Amino acid sequence: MSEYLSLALRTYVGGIFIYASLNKIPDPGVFAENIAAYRIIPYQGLHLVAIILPWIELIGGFFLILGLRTRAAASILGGLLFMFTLFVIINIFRDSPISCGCFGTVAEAVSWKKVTTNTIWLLMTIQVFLFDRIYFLRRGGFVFEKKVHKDFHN
Amino acid sequence: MTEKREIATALADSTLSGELIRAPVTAPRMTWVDYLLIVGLSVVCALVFNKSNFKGIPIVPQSFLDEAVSFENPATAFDKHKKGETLFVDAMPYSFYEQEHIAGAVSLPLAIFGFMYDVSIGQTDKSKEIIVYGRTISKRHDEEVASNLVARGHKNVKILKGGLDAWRKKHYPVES
Repeated sequence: MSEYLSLALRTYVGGIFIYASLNKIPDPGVFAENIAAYRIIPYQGLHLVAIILPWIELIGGFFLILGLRTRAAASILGGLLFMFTLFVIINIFRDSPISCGCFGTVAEAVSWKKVTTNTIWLLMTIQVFLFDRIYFLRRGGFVFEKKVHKDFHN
Repeated sequence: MTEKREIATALADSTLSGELIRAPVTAPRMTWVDYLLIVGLSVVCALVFNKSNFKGIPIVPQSFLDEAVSFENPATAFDKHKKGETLFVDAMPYSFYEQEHIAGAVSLPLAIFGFMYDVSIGQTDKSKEIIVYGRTISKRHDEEVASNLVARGHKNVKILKGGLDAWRKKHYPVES
């Protein structure tokens, strides 16, 4: 059961990250402005983060959906979610009048609702990391069981 | 138990005969190669795409500091503020200006510089002293706006050293 839940969750989380990245990749300048508003990333590294981060989201999302290196992809995307959540919390306490910038130009204020959503997605990546067993491309099919000698089972 | 399961899996893959049953697949072992693959592929794609993208940005932000622009200490700036002969310009995004700004400062956010310039200080005497502020750990709004003002012909543009934080720390007047 957990395997099928993981399959559903990784498809969902992967889709969210791909969608989020597609809004950021075409215009890294706008995304850099969104990150700058958080006032956490140092000036010298801002552009590099704005250029690379959306691609990690895109490729990590594809890996999750396709079932390639899912544990690594889930831990990387989970790490990003943890970082995003921390940044949002810091700016809530700073009372910053900024929008989230999570999905490109769509304005969504930083709030505890955003923290809750991110935390739920983070829990989903943890579930995928721990229980994902269905591999489309790695093991040649929609299979999560294997034949073993009965004497060695248990 | 994990070791037993691995042996069992190996046996199942081998040509050894015996009664077979079905058991769950164990989670694949992760290595640093998995992370390198995802992050490395992302970095390569990102840099190549940014290079070919007409909206691409430089990897390290450019400095906009114009030679004609100098820095002003908060104490000196406050003396000028009291005299009322200097124009204070807030270069932060408008939402930050709305939240708090130096008393009497005008908003000139970079994103809508052209429009706001015409509306707020377009008619100002070009020789009038202007002190710009608005710098964070991530962005030097003040440098870019000061540079734009110099490009528009303003001859006496300065940047407030330490920005709004330094001003606030000295309990100089702010408003929201």
